[in-house]
Amino acid sequence: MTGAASTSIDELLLTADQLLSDPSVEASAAGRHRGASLALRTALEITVDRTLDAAMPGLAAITTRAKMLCLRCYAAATTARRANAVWSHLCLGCHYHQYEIGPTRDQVYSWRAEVSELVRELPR
Amino acid sequence: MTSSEQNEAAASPPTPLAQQAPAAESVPLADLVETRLAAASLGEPVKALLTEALGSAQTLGNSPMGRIFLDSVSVEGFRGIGPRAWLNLSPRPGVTLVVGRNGSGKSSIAEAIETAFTGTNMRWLGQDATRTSNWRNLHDGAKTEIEVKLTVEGDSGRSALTRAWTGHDITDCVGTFRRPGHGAVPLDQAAWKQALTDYRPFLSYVDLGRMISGKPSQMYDSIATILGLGHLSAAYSHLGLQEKALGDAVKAAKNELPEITAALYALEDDERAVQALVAIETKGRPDFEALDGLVAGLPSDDDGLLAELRAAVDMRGPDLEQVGAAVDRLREALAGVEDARLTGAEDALQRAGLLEKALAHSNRHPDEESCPVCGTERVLDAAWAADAGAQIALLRQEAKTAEDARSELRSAARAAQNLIETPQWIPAALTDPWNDWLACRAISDPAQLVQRVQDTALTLADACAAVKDNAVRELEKRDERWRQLVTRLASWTEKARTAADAEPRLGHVRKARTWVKTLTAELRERRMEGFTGHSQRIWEKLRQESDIDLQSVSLQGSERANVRKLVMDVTVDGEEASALSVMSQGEQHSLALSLFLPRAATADSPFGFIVIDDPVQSMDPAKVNGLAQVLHELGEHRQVVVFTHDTRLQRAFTTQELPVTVFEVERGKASKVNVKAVTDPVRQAIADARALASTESLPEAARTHVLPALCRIALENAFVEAAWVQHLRSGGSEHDLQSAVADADKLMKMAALAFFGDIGRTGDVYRELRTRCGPRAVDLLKQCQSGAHATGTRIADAHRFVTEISELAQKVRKTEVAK
Repeated sequence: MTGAASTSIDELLLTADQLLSDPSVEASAAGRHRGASLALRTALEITVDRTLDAAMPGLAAITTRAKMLCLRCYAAATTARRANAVWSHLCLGCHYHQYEIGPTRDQVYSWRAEVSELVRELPR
Repeated sequence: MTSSEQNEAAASPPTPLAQQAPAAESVPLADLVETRLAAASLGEPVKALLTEALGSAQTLGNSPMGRIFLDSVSVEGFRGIGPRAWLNLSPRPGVTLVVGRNGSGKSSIAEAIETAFTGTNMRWLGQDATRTSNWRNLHDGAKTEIEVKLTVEGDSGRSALTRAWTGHDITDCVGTFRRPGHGAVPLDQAAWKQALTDYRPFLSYVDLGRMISGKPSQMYDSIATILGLGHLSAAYSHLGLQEKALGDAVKAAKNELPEITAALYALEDDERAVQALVAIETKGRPDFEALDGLVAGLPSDDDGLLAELRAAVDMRGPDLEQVGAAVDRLREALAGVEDARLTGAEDALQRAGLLEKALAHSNRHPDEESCPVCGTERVLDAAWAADAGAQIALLRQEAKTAEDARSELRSAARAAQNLIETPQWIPAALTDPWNDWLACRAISDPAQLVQRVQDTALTLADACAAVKDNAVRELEKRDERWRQLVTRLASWTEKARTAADAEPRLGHVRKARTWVKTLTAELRERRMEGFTGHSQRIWEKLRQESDIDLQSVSLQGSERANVRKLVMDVTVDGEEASALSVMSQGEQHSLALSLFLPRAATADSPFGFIVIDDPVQSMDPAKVNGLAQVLHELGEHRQVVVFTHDTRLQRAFTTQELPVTVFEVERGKASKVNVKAVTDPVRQAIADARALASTESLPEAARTHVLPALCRIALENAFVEAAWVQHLRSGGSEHDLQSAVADADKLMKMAALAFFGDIGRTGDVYRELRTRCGPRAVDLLKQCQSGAHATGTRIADAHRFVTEISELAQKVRKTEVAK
């Protein structure tokens, strides 16, 4: 399970990178940024699951909001807070909001950096 | 303790935000200067000067009272607000957002707070009258009043700041400040009037723009004040004035010296001039005592020419009247003696003696009538005895007259000689006549004496008169010249005395000034560094993906220089550039916040609060997250009240799990404005706990460990609030409070602070909680605590538990300190 998860996390991060930097992907800039956000969010969620799984059997069914709340008890406070923050930002980045322009490339890049750091920092 | 908790302790230092606390939030300047002064290796007089100079500058910046926090605001008939509207705040550090749509009246509240304090509003300054004329609310024109309740750190009750209008013009208003125990004073007299300009705790979008687009020198001034060195520079100028006054005194004496000595040298033959020169040229310090004596014309005790002249004037020769009387008496006595000698007084005395013996013999032998000498019979009878007695009396009378005449002669001679005195000093011209006069004392023959006394006395008296006249004329001549000089000498002496007193003081003042200057330079550099660092940290958070780097912020030129300016070194993609020309409006705005938030947060400011109106305008979405972090950091030490119409800011707080209190402003009919509490850190935590409790198919571990931990945060936040209230009322140690925030055992320490104002009494918390809130409260608290331990806690009904915690938290917030 752990091995498979690692692979998929890496794959998702790679996908995000491709969407951000590979112009051969045929989509609008806004669309590619949203896609990358989506990939990053999924990678983060898998990472959080991986952390919580060991401590909390039966976790799978609960909402990510609840998972993020639980994460505070199983990871360093700042790490948990950062995970929640970037997750919230990614959620906003994934959706269309009436009065907001989509996330910029730089913004998604900074999320990409934050997510890969959290992947390393969150305990397995 | 779970393994992840150990992780937490090891991995993350306690509240890194608190550690990054801006350098500006250090020691207030006045305290710092005092400490440095105490440690400085300066003489006592220099320190006394500095204390005095710093003391006189004290009134400029620092308020003698504790830090001020906003407690509540009530506004009536002002701008967009009709009937009275209230905004109730927590008077303590933390971030409060007041959100509302454009036109809801929130900006009116923000402006009302500023207007209450300053009597005007940045938004109105420089605006046309037509724009400012509608300051009074149209719906409720009857009364316009703003009341801001304040909590002053250490005061037991709240203070109130009221502003009421007396006329139709916006400026026709009076501000009154009421502080418990201090009565009501016009706001102009409140101690923090100057601080309102220096640390301006009000920032709005409009004035941020105005500040950043001001002249470089204006920007310099607005930043220079936060370095808080106004206090020092006032002391520096104060000492400068002293230095000038003292220096002038020294110079005045020095400049006149050559003239006065030249004039004295011209009077070389006058003892006084010579003495004055000697006194002036006394090594080290002129002999002022001697100079004073000379100026006052006191006789000096030397034996110079002048003294001789003065003595000659005072010379007293023989008193001719007395001498005449003595001579007459002597002559009479001589005549008396001569008379006595003619009457044979001696013989009479002896005959009287003989008769007395014969009478005595006859008395011893009453029967014997014959003379024992010649033998004649019957001659020594009673008639003889009577005759002999009469003879004796007569003869004795004669003898006494002769004796008296001799005695009178002796006495008269002595009296005449007694008139002859030896003076202490005899002028040369009088030596001979005086010696002749003195020689009379040795003459024993009264007849010779009478002649000599008369002759020598007359000669001496004539000679004396001549010498005296001469001396008087000579003295007058000299005095005339001296008098002309003595006025000048007197004036110089006065100046020289001032100068001599000034000289050591001048040295001290110079030392004191140098000390202040050095300290100012050092502090300026250090504080500017801290300020730049703080600005850069804020800029880093607000710039997000901007290409612009803020390299440094510096003040160029001195405070009085015309060319002074604020220099912001920025680079765009590594290339140097001028800050304002390369920045977008949003970026300029962020830069203004980077500069002016540290200013409002400086330790010298008496304001514990800062009001920010509409900081989010034209900010990129990403910057809003940074802004929330910046405001949160500021909120660790300041009460930050932010008015915004932009919902993104609130979201930025909640998504980043930053504690925040939120109010929403709604506008009803007829300008009825309502302020509704939306959330706060306690409610935030309760909402998290509630969300977890509502989660379907919640794993067991979440219920036993996570839920109590989330509830504990709610209680912690409630105790933090209560601890702050306690702290503000009784002015306990803020350090304890700040350290407890960072402590692993935060909950118990905060509770101890909230209940007792004493961080050490954690052992009494449970007992006190039972007394105040009942035994169930203790159970709840214990359950929250044990949730953090490996065993966890068993909670039967998650929702009920959260509700109970919520109720307990509300009770805790209203905690009064134990008496």
